[in-house]
This record gives sequence, C-alpha cells and structure tokens, in this order.
Amino acid sequence: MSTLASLMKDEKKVGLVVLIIAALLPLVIRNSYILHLIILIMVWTVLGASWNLLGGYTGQVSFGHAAFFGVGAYTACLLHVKAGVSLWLGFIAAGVAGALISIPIGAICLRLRGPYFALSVLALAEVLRLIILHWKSFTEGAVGILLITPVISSRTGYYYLVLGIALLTLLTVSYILRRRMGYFFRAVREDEDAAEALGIFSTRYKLIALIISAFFTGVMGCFFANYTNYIDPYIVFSIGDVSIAMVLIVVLGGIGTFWGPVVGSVIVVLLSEGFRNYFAAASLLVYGALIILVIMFLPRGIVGSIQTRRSA
Amino acid sequence: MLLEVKGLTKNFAGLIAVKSVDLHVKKGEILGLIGPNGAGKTTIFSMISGFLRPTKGDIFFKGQKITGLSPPRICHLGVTRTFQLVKPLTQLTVLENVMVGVFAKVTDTEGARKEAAKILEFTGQLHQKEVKAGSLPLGDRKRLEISRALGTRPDVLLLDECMSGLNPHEISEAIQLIGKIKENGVTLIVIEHVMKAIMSVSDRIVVINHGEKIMEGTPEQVANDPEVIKAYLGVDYAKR
Repeated sequence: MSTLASLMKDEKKVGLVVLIIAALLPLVIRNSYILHLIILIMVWTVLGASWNLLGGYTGQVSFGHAAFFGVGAYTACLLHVKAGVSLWLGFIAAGVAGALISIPIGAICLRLRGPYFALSVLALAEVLRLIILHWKSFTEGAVGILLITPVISSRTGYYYLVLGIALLTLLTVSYILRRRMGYFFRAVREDEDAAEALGIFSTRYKLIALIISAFFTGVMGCFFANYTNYIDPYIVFSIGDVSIAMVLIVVLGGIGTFWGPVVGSVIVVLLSEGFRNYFAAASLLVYGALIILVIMFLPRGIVGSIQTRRSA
Repeated sequence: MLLEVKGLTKNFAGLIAVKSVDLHVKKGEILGLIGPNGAGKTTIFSMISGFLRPTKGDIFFKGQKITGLSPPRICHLGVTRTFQLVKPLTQLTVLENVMVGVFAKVTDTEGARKEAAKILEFTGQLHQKEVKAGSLPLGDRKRLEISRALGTRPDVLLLDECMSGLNPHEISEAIQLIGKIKENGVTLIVIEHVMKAIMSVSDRIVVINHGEKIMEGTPEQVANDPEVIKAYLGVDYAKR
C-alpha cells in the first residue's frame, strides 16, 4: 500500500508511465479479447471522469447521464444514416448535442439545492428514451440503428481512438482542476453559501461543469455506437448499464479524486467480466454484494481511502 | 457615505424580524452592531450581503442601490460577509480556502496562491496553510472566515460574531486583527456579543432590539444608556 501511495504522489509521472505503456500495449498484446477489455476500461474511464467532474468535484450528483450518452450516440448515427454526415464529424456533433441538451435542464434544476437535479436528469434520460423509442419514422424505434460502415474496422484502431479520447478527457479535467474554475467547482461542492459570499456565481459554475461533463459523455456515446456497430434506445439510455454504472465506477474508485474513475473502471470492467464467467446468472448478485462491502469499508472509494491514509 | 441602509424591513411570514432600520458607515470606520439574541442583527447582514431580499427598504453602496442583488454580485462590488456558524470549505486546505476568495479578483492560479499566502501571513495563519480546513479547531476556523473574506479585497467587511466561542487569548488576538484590518483601509461592520471586544474596537455602535434600532452612539454613550441596559439586563437594572 505504501509503495502505491508514494507512486500516486507524482500524478504527472504516473500519467506519463501509464500513457507510454498504453501506447505500446497493442504491439505486445495480440489477444483481441484482452484488447477489448482494455478498450472497455478506457470507455468507462472517460464516462467516469466526465461524471466525476460534475458529481465528484462540483457536488452535483446525476442519476441520468445516459441522457447525454444516448443523445450523443443517436445524433452521430442519425446524422450519418439520414444525412450522410461523416462519423468522424459525428464525434464532435455528439459532444455538442450532449452539451446542448444539458443546458436547459441544468439552467432550471441547478438553481435548486437538494436532490432535484439528480432526479430531473434521470427523468430526462427516460423521456428521451421514450421519444426515440416511439418516433419510429425518424429514429427506427426499438429496431435500433445499425452502422454498416463505422469509422474504423480494426480493434487496434479503436484502441488508439479511445486512448486519444481518454487522454483528452483526463487532460481537460486536470487542466480545469488546476485553474480558477476547478477551485470554484470544489468551493460550490463544499458550501454554496460560502462560495456565493466569496463572489462565486454558483449556478453558473454548476452549469459549466454539467456542460463539460455532458460533452465528453456525448462523445463517448458516438464512440460506443461505432465500436459496437449498433445502438437502440434500451442500450444507450439504460439507467442501470449507463447512468448508474457511471456513478458506481466513480464511487468505487474514489469520488472527487482524479484517478478514482481510472481505478474504478479497471476494477468494474475486470470484475464484471470475471463474474460473468464464474457466476453466470448470479454475477449481478455477487457484484452487488461487493459494492455494498466497498461502500461500507471504503466510503471514500479506493483512491480516496489511500489518500486519506497518506495524509493522516 | 460608503454604505447606507434606509428603512430596512424584513417580514418572515408575519413575523417582523427587522423593522425600518437605518444605518450608515463612513469609509474607514468600524460600526458595532449589538443587541440581544434574536434581535435581527444577522438578518440585517443577510440583507446587506444579498442572501435575503428585504421586504421593504433600500441598501446603497457608494451611492449605488444594491438592494436585492445576488451575494456574488455584491461581493464583486466590494461588500462581503463572514458567517456566525462558520462555513469552511472542509476538504480544501487553509491556503486553498483563501485562494477561492482571492479568485474573486485574481484569475491566475499562481498569482492567487501568492496573494493568499500574503493574507495568511497578515492574519497570522500561514503556518496552517497546508492543513485541511475541516480539521481546524473553532478559533482557527473563525479566523479562516476572516482570511478568506479578505481575499476578495472588500471595501466593506461584515463580521458576524467572529469572537463567540473563543478563549480570552484568542479574543485579544481577534481584536488586534480587526484593528489591523481597519488600518489597511477596510471598513467594517461588526456583530459581537463579547462586550469588552465590541466596546474597544468600535468607533460607533448601533443597538438593535426586537428588530428595531433603539440607540446609536459612541461606545461610552451606549454603555451608559438606560434603554440599552434595559434591553440587555432587564428593567430592574435600568432603574438603579
């Protein structure tokens, strides 16, 4: 534990080492299943880091980030299928669409304190799912959209693509946290009255955190659509598999910590794959029990608990 | 007149917390605000700093009407407050707490860090800069409230009971600090129950009782006024 703690001390060094290893990994690993697992880890890292910026650092918990994920996925796919827009442009369109849809809900609900925002986003995700499900003439409804020619066809290609997105997301988050905005986010989380007395327009900063968070979540929606070739409303707007999974990864890894989403993703992806093989249908049960144990014994998550021990 | 309050009134669903209060502070002055518990002092602070909207009356700062503006807006204009029930940003260090205040006027992180360190040196808290605010004892939390508010470079600072719960040594330190803040050109309005302290720091004192201003004057005048003694100690003492 102590070596791990001292290693985590210099985040830049850790980041660089992880990056170099990550860049070289496909040259060593020829097993495409393992590569797939690493891609999943990076997908969840991006989603976790996005959620963490809003939920962990700014203190605005969301139970409905699938809204932005799904809107991103559908925006890119519909633009491509209906209007022939390049799926590469779709990544940007997906991020922008996710960000845009977050603005009205944030501008209204982030003014309120309490659980209203968390629940409104949950409702937003469900409403969007129903709209897409029933607007069959435009969205194909439950049939979903099949991408015949996604942006890349090779697994290694997707590996580098998601690595790039993950890098961009983590660098953005780390940059923001070191700037004035990052301090304001945390001040709003700690005490909104104190923040306002110190000149911080708290609603504005909560909204900025939401927009950035929704942008990267939307981009990941587009990646997911390309990677799996197929989306339908149940998959991309899923409460359990997207919205709650994002929360769990951050809570397990360490809410409000930079490396929490990374650690959480590794654990959740590997465990859920492992459990699926060993426990089959009972895997969710084992998974659930594990989460309860972590929350009971490591309430600050894994990275949070290490940091607390170090500073104590 | 730097700050002026005219006919300030606050009604909470029929309960009149503050009734037609007039106040003014000149630049560089320390105004003491005293009165029994529940007299409405903090409510007046909350209205001046924008946390509560007055039912009636107006607040002017540098001649500009600031009634009903939001707290951050009022802070940027130059008026900020501390809280009686301290609100430290618990997971941030002492230095980071002050940096958050400094960011009201400074945009770059390094500049903010330097200025925050200067302020902590001024308030005598620099040795605690790496300590998490959540693990400070009460006296230091009260001082952090002041350090952080100074970070915003206020023209007028509203101190809400920054000495309650402190030991005599800490109180005399706080009195010194308030004097130093005044020397730096900051105008202060101070709510305080520690009589020795408020009498020694204030240039002028306003006494509030049941939401109304009952007396205004120098510390000596206030201390000898029968109305004030009645409000604090009861009718019997005032007769003697």
